[in-house]
Formats: sequence, C-alpha cells, structure tokens
Amino acid sequence: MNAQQARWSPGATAALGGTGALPRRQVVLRVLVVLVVLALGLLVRSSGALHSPDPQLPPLDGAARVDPSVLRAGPATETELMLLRDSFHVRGVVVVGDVTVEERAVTRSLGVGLLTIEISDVDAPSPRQVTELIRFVRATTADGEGTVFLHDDDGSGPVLVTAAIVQLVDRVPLTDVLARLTTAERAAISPAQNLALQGVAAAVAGGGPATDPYAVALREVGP
Amino acid sequence: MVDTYLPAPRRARLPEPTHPVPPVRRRRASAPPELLVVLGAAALAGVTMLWNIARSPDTQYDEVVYTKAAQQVAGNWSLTWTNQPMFVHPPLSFLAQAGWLRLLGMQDAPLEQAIVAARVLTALAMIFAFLLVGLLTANLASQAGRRRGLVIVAVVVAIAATDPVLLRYGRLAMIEPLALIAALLTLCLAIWLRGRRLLVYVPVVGLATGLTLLTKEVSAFLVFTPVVHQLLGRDWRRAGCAIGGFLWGVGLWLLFPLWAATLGLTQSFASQKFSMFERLTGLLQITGWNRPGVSFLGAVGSSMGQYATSYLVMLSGGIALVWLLLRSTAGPARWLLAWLLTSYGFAAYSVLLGTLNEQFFVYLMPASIAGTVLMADALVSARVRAERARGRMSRLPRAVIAAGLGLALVTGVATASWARFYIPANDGVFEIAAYIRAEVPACSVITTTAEAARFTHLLPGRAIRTFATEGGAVSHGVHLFVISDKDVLGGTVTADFPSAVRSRGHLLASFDSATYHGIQLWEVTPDPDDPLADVETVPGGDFVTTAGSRCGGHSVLDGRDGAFSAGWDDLGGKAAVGPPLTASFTSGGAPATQVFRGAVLTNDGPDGVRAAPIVAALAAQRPDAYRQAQLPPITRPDGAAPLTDQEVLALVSDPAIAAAYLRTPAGAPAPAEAISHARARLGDPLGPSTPMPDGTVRQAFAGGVLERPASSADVRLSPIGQTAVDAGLVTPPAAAGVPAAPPPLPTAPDDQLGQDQPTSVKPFVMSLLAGLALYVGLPTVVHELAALRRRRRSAGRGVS
Repeated sequence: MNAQQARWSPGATAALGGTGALPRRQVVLRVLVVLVVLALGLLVRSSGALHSPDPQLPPLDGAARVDPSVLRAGPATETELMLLRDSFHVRGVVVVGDVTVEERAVTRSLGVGLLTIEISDVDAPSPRQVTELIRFVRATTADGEGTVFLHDDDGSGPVLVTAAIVQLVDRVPLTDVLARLTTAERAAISPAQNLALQGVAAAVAGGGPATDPYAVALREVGP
Repeated sequence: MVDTYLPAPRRARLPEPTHPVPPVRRRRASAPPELLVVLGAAALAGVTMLWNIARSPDTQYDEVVYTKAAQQVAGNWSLTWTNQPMFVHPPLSFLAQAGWLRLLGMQDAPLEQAIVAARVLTALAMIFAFLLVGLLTANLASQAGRRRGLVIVAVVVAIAATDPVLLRYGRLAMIEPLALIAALLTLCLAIWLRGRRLLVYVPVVGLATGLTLLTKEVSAFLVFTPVVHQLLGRDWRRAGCAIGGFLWGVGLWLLFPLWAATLGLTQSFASQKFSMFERLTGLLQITGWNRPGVSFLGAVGSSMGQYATSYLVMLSGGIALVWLLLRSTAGPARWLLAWLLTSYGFAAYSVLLGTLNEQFFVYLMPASIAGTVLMADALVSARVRAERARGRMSRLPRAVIAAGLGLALVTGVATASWARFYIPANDGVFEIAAYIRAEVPACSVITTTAEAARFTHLLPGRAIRTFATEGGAVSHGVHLFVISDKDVLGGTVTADFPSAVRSRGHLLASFDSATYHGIQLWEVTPDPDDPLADVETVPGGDFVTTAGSRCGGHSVLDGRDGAFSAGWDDLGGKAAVGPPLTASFTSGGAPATQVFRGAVLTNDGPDGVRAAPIVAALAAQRPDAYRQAQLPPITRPDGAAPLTDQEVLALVSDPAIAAAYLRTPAGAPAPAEAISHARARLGDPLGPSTPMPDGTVRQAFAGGVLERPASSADVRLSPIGQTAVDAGLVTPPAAAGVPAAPPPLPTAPDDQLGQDQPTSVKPFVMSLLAGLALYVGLPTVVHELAALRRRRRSAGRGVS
C-alpha cells in the first residue's frame, strides 16, 4: 500500500460503524412494521377521520340547507362570500331585506348573481317577489351545479319564510316545511308570513282560488 | 459493539515518565486541522447566511410581528404585537431577540432596521447550529480517522451552509434558528453525557431540553431523540434516565403556563394551546400545505426551483433511515437511527396528517444531512472494501469520485439557488413600504393581497386592509392595491384579483421580490358614476369618497337642510347623477343646495329636493363653456309657454333617454303620472336629443342634460355641476367644498382586537431566573449531599 492509499485507508471502514446485517426475519418484520405504519397513516388521511369532514353547511349564523341546491343563513362577509362560491358552489345570492353596496359590489366581482327581496322582518314576499325568487333559483341551479344562498340580517328573520316558499314550490308539504324549523324559528314567523305560506301551499296544491295572487304568480313561473 | 464515539466519559491520565525524555525537535506551531475546519465552516456559513441579509429574503408576516413583539419586550416588557399577550409560541426566543435589540439600542428603531438587526442574531444562531450539526456528526463518525472525520464534518457543514431551506429560514428573524441551536445543543449534551449518572444527566440534559421547549415546543420531537435511542437499545435503565431528562425539561416548560396563570389568563393560554395542538395534529388545517384546496405535490413542485437540493437531501436522508432500519445498529449508528426516526417521524406525520408548515423542514434538515453524508461514507467504504477484496488498488477509488461528484452537484446547485435568491435585492416589502411612506398621502387606505399585518407594523398610522375582491375594496372607496402574485396562492383573495386590478388600474410602482414574484402598487380609478364604487352607507344617507383612496368625500343625507339623499336617489342616485362635489349648504337665505357631478340639487319646492333649473342659464351665461362641454342645443326660448305632456313626450324622442327620463320601459306608453313625476324631477326638455361630435347623444332638460353613448342605452346626467360652479350659477362656501373625513371602515374579523389584557413578560423572566436557579442549585445540592454521604461511608469503613 503506497502513501496515497494509506491516506484513504480508513475509508475501508464506515465512519458510522456499528451496523451489521440483520436476520432475514427481522428485516421482513421491520419492513412490515414500516409499511403498516405508513399504510395506517394513509388510511387515516384518506378516511378523513382526523380532519373534520368537509362541512355540509357554511360557518354562518343560522346556516341550514333548504334543499340540495339552496342554503340559508345570516349575512356573509366578503371573504365568506368568496368561500361560499368556491366551497359551496354558490352562484346566486338572495338578500332578503336591505342589501349593502359592498355586497352588491362583491357579488359582481365574484361573478355571482344577486337578487334582492326588500321586505321587513314581519312581511312576506309579495307574489311578484315570489315570481322573481323562483325564476332566480331555477336559473341559478339549472345546470345542476350552482347553489343559491339566501340570507337576511341574522339568519332568523324573513329569510325563513323565503326559504319556506322555495320548499313549498318544490312540493314539500307545509307541515314538513314547518317541522324542519326549530321552535324558535317557527315562533319568528309572523302572522302575515304564515298567511302567505298557506297561500303558496294552497296555490301549489291547486286547492286555493285561481285568482289568489300567489296562484297567479306560480302559474306565471310554471311548475 | 460497545459505544466508542467521542468524547469518552472519562479519559485515563497518562503515567508520569520514569526516565528522562529526550529532547524532541519542535515543529513550527500551526493551527490544528480541527480549528481550521471550524473556522472554514464558520466562514462559509457566515458568507451564505449574512451576505446581503438586509435585502434578502423579502420579509414576511411572522418576521414582522415577531420582531415587533421583540421590540415591545425590549422597550416595555410587553410581549405582544396586539393588545393581548402572545401565547402561541414560548417567550424565550422573543427575550433573546429583545436582549439583542436592547444591546444594539434598537428597541425604538424603525421596524425595518430592527428586522435586519434581528436577522443578524438568528443568522449567527444558525451558523452555530451548522457547527453543532458538524459536531454531532463528528461524534457519530467515531470510526473515521482524524482526517476522514474532518472531511465528513466539513462536507456536512458545507451542505448545511448552502442548504436552501436552512438558508431561507436562517436568514429571517424567525424562531427556528434559535430553537434549532437549543435542540442540537441538547442532543450534543445527551451524547456526551450518555454514560453519566442520573444525577448528572437529568439536570444537564433536562435543563437544555427545557430551554429548547421554552423556545419552540414543536422541537420536542428532536429532544426526544435520546429517549428513542435508549429504547432502541432496550437499555431500560438508561431509557428511564433519558425519560427523566425529558420530563425534567417539560417541568421547566411549565414556567410558560405559569406565566399565563400569573397574568390571570389561564383560559386564554389553554385556548391558544389547544388550537395549536389541533393544528399540529391536523385536526385544524388553517396554514401550511395540507390546507383544503392546497396540493402538497403542487406546493413541492412550485418550490422545487428554490428547494431542489433540500428535497434531494431529505430524500436521501429518508433512504438512510430505511437503510439503518434494515440493519442491526449499535453505538453511533443507533444514535443516528434514533435521530432520523424522530425527525422523519415528525415529518411523515406532518405530511400525512398534521399541519405542514414549510419552516418545519428546518428541524428535519440536520438529521437528513448527517444521515445522507454518513450513509454515503458507508457506501463508499463498502465499495472501497470490495475493490480491495478484488485486488483493485486505485489511487482514488471510483466510489470516492462518485461521492465527490454528488457533493459537488448538491452544493453547486444549492449555491446557484443561493446566488439567485440572496445576491440580488429581494426586499420588495421594505421598498414598497418606503415608497408608500414617501409618495402616498397619509390619509390613503391601502388594500393588499397579503395579510394586512405584513404592512400595518411597517406603516404605523396607515390604514391597511385585506379585501378579498377588487369590487369589495372599491365599494368602500379604497383605490390603492399592493399586489403580489404569490399571495394569491395563499387564498386570501380571489384568483382573478390581480388581473382585475391590473385591467382597471394603472401601475404606480413595482419592486423586485424573488420571494413574492414581485410586488406592485396599483391605483384603480373607478367610474365616478359607478353606484357600487366609493359609497358607504351612513345614518340618514350615504357617504361618497371623492378624494384619493378613501381620503375624503361628502355625505348625501336626508337632514335638516332637506332630503338630499331621497332627491339624489329619485334622480337615479350615483349611477345617473354622479358623486357629490360639495356638502349641502345654504347661503344668503337661499334654499339649501348640494352640487353633484351631474346636477345641482336644491330644496326649494313643495316636492322637496329637485334638480335646480340651471341648464338654460348656463347656456346663456357661459355659452363658451356650454359648447366646449359639447352640451346639446337649446331650442325652447326662455320664457316660452309651458309645455303640455304631449309636447314633452314629443320632445323626448330618443327611446333610451325617454325611458330614463320617464322611468318607464323603453317604448312603453308613459302614463300621465310618470310624465308629471319626470317633469318635477328634472324639469321640461329644452331641446331635442342630439348626437354630438364626441359620439354621445345628449338632450337638455331644465335641471340637467341626459346623455348616452351612441351605441348604448345607459343614460346618465352630463357632468354640468362643476361647470355651474365655475360659471357662478352656484357659489358654495369654501367649507362645503372641502372633503370630509370618511366614516370608519367596517372592521374585518381578523382585525378585531379583543379585550385589553396584561402583556408583561416580566413575571416570566422572574420565574425563569428562579427556575434556572432551582434547576442548577437543586441538583448541585443533591449531588454534594450524595458525595458527602459517600465520603462518610468511606470514612466509616476506614475507621472500622
């Protein structure tokens, strides 16, 4: 061995030292342990058991699903409207009550449709507003992808009667519509709104007078 | 195999010579190679860490707020950047930074300067961390001779000193460098004291563990390595000792919750820590690469240009882990295995399930680098052995050449990445903050695609917001946008935000930033008649921004002077009349008046506020200005007989203008009530609708001029308000023309401050000093008592 090779002589032994071959069973066992741990991790990840599942409802006051393509809740901030569009496929917003300039501007920026139903807390949507609402919902959800988001000032005001009308037009019986509301929500519906609901329910069932304004409105939009 | 890695617990003393020692020829004194390697490594790391550190990398939210908090601590012991104490991370790194800033007298310095100063401390800490990685590797490379050991250490430090991930976070004033140095020091101590008695090991390693945990809790997995090492060796007694050291450290960490309890904020502390636990375990995903909507592979791919060699080293470190797992290990190999297991275990959990923040890779890199180099050494050694066994005795074995090429490739690519990111200026955030300070009026509100806090502390006194949409910002009168394309990936704004701003605005300033793919300041000037721009609802009406980026404007109110808001709305609001040019005013007993872009509204009639009939007077008194504005001809002479409704209808022959005037659908018959309302609103037509040379169709009415583009049915009032003022038809007092301050912006949820809370970190410092005294004093007393007992026993045995 010349001087140059002697300089590299320690290279013949690993600097780390202290390693040796394992019996085959041990190797297999360790490989299995590693694979099982990794598989478990992947399983947990893919199952979503650790992460909370994708929320069915947006994190907003009074959030509830009206039907598969309609949500109702309280007001949404600008960021929440963006998340509603991106995570809940909201393509149309119905403001029940007063709409702010910001919301109109944000929905325009987001490319989301906007309909305003200007009524007070105790009013029911007029037949004309019902017509506009149904047309808007149908147009927004026509492709089977879009969702409509209904809201008022706090999620427990006139949005309830508006959402109920959407369900009635979907031929959900009035008793079922009311049963889906909480006691507090049912109590929040004013007598005028109750009357309107009964009128819409009768018009949908064809049991009311043909000249009833809601019946006329619903005939206008068709089944 | 017995543990043989250095330093040995005790060294035998050499026997005294028993015969005269012949004089030896003294060699000229020269620096030992170890010193040269340390100095060389420190010099290399010094260059890569400190070169151009003031201007690269670009700053980020964490660095800004952490330095702000350190300045607060240095100034008044207040550990916060809001009005509540910071419980997310332990206080030790902030105290270290505060002490450093205080030493430099920078507790009150501008934040940019303080950030640069704080970076120097973390960079120095990272340089020492590199040397500690080298020291750990030297301990693990116990079978290498002196020269090869030094080569291995030099290679490890060279890779660390050019590693893109370590450079990225070592050059920022973050917690990671300080936490890393504490964790690596703990590992060094654990190796050195591995054979020492419980009374020595537990207090020393425990103290270091505690200080590490008080710097950043997430480093707990690293300081758990000694426990894993002993468990792998099934040495239960030493495992107990290692667990004792770890728990002793956890005991010191309890000073952190104790501080919160001292402040009376246990609930707030528990809440923040629970939130952090949820994030680390992955129950809550609000940051990092595992957030919903963020692709891990996509994030790796997009950062590949910068972190390529880091990913390569991480991969090879992972291979080293698998290699060691499939071997029987002892001594240093087992230590390395334990280190890799804790590092990669944490990384695997973070990738698969937990919160994966990019800076967490900092804790993985040391083990990756050491594992990679030591595995490469083992492979080279095996090849050399094999070649020798086959009788091939080349001067420079091919395996060594391959390893050298690999090293050259890694350090070469890493150095290129360093040169790309850290040699050019990369301080767009500082630059744009300076530009805003110098060029943008202080009243301006600015919105940014980043977290607002990235700029709020750099621009104290300025209003910075983060609007998710361009429309949302403009609706509040905010026209200035700080944009970086990289921020869009973070999801704070809509994907089309930058393009929307760029398509509607003009560029004011642009600054290079490799970190953020450039940072720009844009100004959007919305259409003054856009009803969704610059309008803030206030009690009694609206406030309209008319000056700058929400610098000032005028209110349109239903108030004592008259129902101007109702009158404005009645004429079509901002979309038709435009914004107000003045506040409402009264002068010389005249009715209250407010000038708008398209009309002068006056409260002079029984019908309330209406458009003042100024058009005919304007045409008569200022025909030059009237013509210059391309206003339409007036054909009805002054003092002509009143028109009938039919004559009015006959004059409004343009369908779009007629629809806008009468508020009826275009082409629909107008009821008498509509005609009456229209005449009351805007007065009678003064002439026919006329296409003007500028391509706009205009028609004059008594109170205003309706216009529409030739190709559009959008009708609004021509901007005659300012012309009327210039012509002296209205003379608003000077005060009415001065824009008023806007109402406060609605507070964003992220900007809402909670209740004021005590933030002094002094109680923690006092308890830390007491804790350190206890952690040093108690073991010393116990140690001395045990020694005394031993001496007495020995003395007793001697007497008997």
